[in-house]
Amino acid sequence: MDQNVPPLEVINAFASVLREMGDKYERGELYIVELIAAGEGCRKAIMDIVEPKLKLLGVERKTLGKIVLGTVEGDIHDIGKNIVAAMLSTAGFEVVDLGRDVPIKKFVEAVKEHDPQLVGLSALMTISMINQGEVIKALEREGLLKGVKVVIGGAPTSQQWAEKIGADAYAPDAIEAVAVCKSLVGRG
Amino acid sequence: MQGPPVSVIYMKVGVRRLKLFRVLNGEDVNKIHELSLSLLQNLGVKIFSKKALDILEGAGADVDQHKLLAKIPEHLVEEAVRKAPRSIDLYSRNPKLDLHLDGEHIFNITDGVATQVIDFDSGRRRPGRKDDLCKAAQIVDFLDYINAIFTPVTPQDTPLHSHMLHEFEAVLNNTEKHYCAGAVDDSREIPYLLEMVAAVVGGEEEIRRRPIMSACTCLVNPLIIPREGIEPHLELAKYNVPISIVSMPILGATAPITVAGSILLGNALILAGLTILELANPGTPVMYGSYPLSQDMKGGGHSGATPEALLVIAGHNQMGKFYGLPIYSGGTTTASKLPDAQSAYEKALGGLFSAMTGADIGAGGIGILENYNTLCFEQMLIDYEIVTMVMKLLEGVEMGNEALALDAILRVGCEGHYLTDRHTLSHFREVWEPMISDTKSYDAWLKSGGRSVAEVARGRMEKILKSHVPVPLDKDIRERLSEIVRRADKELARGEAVD
Repeated sequence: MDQNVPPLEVINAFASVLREMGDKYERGELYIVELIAAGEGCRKAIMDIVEPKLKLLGVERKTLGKIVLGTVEGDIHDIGKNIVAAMLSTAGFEVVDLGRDVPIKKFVEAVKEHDPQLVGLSALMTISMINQGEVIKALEREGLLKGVKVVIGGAPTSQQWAEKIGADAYAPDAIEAVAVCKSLVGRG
Repeated sequence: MQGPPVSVIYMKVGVRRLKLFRVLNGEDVNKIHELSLSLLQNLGVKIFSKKALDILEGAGADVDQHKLLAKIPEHLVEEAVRKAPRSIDLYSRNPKLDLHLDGEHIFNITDGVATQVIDFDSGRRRPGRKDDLCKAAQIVDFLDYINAIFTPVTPQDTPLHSHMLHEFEAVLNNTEKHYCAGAVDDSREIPYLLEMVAAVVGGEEEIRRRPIMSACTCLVNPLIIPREGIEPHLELAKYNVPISIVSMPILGATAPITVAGSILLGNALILAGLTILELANPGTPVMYGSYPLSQDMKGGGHSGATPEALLVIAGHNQMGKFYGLPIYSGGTTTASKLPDAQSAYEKALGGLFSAMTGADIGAGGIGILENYNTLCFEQMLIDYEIVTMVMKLLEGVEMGNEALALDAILRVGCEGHYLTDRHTLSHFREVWEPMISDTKSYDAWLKSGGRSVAEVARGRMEKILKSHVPVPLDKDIRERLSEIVRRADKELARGEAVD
């Protein structure tokens, strides 16, 4: 940035490095922590250094899409959701991470505020996964499901569960989550 | 502990940080020792070798040359044990891959000697071939934690009168690692074998300094030393070739049905073999080996993977340690015919138990099924997974400040995660890593083919065989080896009968 490289070019360079790392990971040549650490590093650089510059120039950054993500109410197990957040952000999504034990209402508010293409709902426990369905119902009641696709995940969940509660997709793990989200926004 | 041996840099070597797990107390050990001496002195050993009987007689044993029976005085045995080296080196084609058996490190070697192979292409069991042995050596060369190769299979497509030489040639051409000859059963092949060693190490004088092979002798229970189990080894011992003296008691058949009785009988037999070798060539490097089997009292078969057989290994490992000898023991064994659940649980339990109780080399009888009768390539990788897990287990728990990770714990706090913490990033490569075990989610597993571990092993094995190229011997050495083998094929054929 100090050498006046255009900010969008910097972002593209990050993206191409991360893409290459993603391919290497798929081939078993990289470890997941390396991939995530690189993703977090790039994200931090973009947020702290590149974005302010873009704003200054009045240029908008292109992402694969925006996702509102959280571990549903009643569940504080968030390591899986954190990995998914890191992987999605690495892949080029804008991630709005609501954290864990997120009340249903907060998902509704976040969708209204951020206008995302995707909503991601994570749950680790059979007792909390019920709330994935409750979030979907609440979004439907508020008429927010138009233009928003819901993806769910977490150890006790499954494709069948996703269909039962009316989610658009199920992602069995963080790697799949990236592919699933890309395909949901038509970039798969 | 001093720094790691040089070899650690070039291959992976198990480090024993856990204390030995013991199955006998001090009094038990003394009792087995004393009873073993008493058996050798009063009952004696049947020895089918005039040469060995003469050695014992010359040293003062009570030998009946007609009955082939030697009663060995206690002091001869005790002196022999004292002459045997405490730690020994196993040399390799590549000196960087030498093994230093010091009790602090654990090495892994293949097992055998099978005659059958599960054909990698057809999946059918058939007689083993020389090219199977070449493949097995190539795989051993590739696998970091497999530090040496014991003849996994005796080829059935080469002349039997020169099989040892064909085996050595196949191994030398496909791995730089140490070779332990498994089926050393014919003295006539020994001069050719030594000639082959000389061709690689650079002359006959060099053999004594760097014998790049060791040899196994499998003595026979109850208390029998066959001619082929001692005479070739006496020749090799002259050249400082280390000998692993192995006892294979069959509980309830060739040995008592009880664990203690089989430990006793096997121990006495190993001491008898050791005494002959040390009397003939004082200072001969010997290893103490145990490969017991249990007689199946219902079905008539046997298995080396029963709790009783494993307890015999443990007892023998402890006896060997009592004598201060390097331990060469089995354990990673199975009676199963296929790479299946039985082969996995038997080998996992046995490999771990043998290593925990003192095996310095062994633990990794990778690839062998059906009680040492069949080699299976897929099984080699399944067993390798077990071996690497066992090696990690024996490293125990490291307790330095860096390992306690207090800094990282304070840094991450009550929330957040360790995935990208610098402590994780600087240590994650140290943790055990599976080669073929599946850890995927159900859907990801299904998407990647939904394969069993045997199928995954097969795929991985295909890649290794296709891609791994061992460092070749110089062309003139290769040609010299081939010439020696061809000459032996012809010259030894004249007296086809071994006896």
